[in-house]
Amino acid sequence: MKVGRRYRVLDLAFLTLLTVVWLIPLAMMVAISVTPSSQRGLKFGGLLISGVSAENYAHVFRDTPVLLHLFNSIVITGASVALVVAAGSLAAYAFARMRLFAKEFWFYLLIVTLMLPIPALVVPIFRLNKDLGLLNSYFGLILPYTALGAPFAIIILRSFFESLPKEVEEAALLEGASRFAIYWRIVMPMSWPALSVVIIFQFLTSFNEFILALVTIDKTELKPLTLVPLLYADAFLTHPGDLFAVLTIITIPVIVVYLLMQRFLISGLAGGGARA
Amino acid sequence: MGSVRLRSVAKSFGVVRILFDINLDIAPGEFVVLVGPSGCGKSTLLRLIAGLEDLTEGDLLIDNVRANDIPPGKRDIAMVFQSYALFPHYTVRENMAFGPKLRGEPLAKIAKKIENAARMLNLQNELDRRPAHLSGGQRQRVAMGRAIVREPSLFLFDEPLSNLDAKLRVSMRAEIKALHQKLGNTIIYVTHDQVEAMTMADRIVVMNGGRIEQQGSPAALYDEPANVFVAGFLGSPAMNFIEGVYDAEGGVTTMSGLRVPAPSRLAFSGQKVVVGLRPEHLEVVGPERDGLSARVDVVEPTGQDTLLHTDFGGAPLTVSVRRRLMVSPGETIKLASLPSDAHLFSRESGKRLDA
Repeated sequence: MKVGRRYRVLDLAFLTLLTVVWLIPLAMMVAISVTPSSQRGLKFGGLLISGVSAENYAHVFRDTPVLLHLFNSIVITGASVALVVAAGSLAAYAFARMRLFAKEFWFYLLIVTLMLPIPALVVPIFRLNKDLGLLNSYFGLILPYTALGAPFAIIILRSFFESLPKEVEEAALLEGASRFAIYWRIVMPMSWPALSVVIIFQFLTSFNEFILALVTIDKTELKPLTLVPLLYADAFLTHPGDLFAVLTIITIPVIVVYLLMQRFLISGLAGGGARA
Repeated sequence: MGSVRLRSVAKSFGVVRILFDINLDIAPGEFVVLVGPSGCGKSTLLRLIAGLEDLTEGDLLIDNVRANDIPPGKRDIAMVFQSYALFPHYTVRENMAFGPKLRGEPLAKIAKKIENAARMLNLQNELDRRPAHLSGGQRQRVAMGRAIVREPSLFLFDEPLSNLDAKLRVSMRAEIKALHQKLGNTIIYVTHDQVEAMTMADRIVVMNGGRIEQQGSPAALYDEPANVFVAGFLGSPAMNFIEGVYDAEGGVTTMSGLRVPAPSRLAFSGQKVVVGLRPEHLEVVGPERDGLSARVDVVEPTGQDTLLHTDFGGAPLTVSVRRRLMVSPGETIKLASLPSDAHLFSRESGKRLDA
């Protein structure tokens, strides 16, 4: 057991180091956001603070409609998460359990789409949105985010659905459940671990997306939160503390969603129905 | 209600044929056990009856109605799976209520049926727990409860006891049998365990390689197996087989020149045969008596019986005796058997040779 303990100590040391390195920028961001603008000469990139003040946050809420932009972000992200979960899980269930023509071909085509980064698609999506009249509307972002997020969701959910015991679905079938009832009442509730991965990932990518939002939405009152630092760049140049306050506000919803979903990630809910 | 007929049923998965020309009639209220080694097609046959697989050829009739194309949910069938197949996110009560609710039965009626089933299966205190918090035996009882609440004309069991430990298996075996006596529904039960088959069935259907080898009451199959496969499959420890030639004096001369008494079937004299002897039909006798000389290789006392693994002229011969025997490996013993207890099979076809 001695060897095991030594490895555990090494593991812990390594993970701690990694976490500290990872957290330094975040800590800087939070530290600067609570440093009043009157205070000059920041030490260690602002990590050492002499006092905490909500002054910057007050400025932000006074000078910019942060809540409006937050609302825009929530609407766009929430809708794309809902659509990705709905469309992705239905498609994944069909891929996992139904007989489809050229099923594997379609599936590999989906995987190929994963390899395209959003920046490579900005111009085509912009033109599509323009032709469809979706510029300057929520849908101009919701639909592309959904389309780009669906392949990942389908891949994750398909392999999870395939790992579920088939007998449980067959038992429901024998009880007279329709395909859709099996999907909705049996498969989906058993799939929270995979669904939470999809929800967190889709929330993160949609909420943090910048470039597509920048070119799609021109109207200030429709812009999502990620555009705020750029939108008020002039004001922020003179008040770096305000900028970091905005950045801190942007990270909060993501953390909240993660905390809400993480208990499902490790949930043992799927256990006990059938023997593995 | 609850009759099943299979007419020339065949099943293939792609080019692989799993079932060949299956013909089977199951009467209402009958307890039929399909038994056979793994891969013999018994589970596939059950899934065909359930509607979880499509028939490749032939007809399936449930209550005299052709059911080939009736969807599983409309066949009035309940199935209990080896893996229990409970809905993990529902409580025991919700598991049992799932089907009736889907079918739109009144809630009060559902609640009553669940109460009854829970009482019958001793699950009253478990109704609000999730499957993850139940033991294996309790989970299997919930699966049975879900089937009972369905009130089907036909119960299908797919190796329901295979995941349980030995002791629990014995008690659940009795529970299922009692359940059948109480409810009187038709049961088709799949197992690879010949003890389960022998103890529970009204009728056993022995399958091998996608075909039915023999069907009949447990006693009939045990006493008059139709072929070497059935003879060797039913019975534990398994029947001994010795190859030899049937002689005119009503015995079998083995390859090593030894003689085994056999029933008189003079028509077969001179034929190459396999003689089958059940371990419990061999008796250890004193050295002064006539009998088969065998050398003891291994002694296995089980407490209830003692098993002797012996060498009979190069052929293995297992003997099961009730008495406590003081024999040790290496010793030679004398074994006696009644000619009428020996089973004769053709060596070419493996079929039983009857007078």
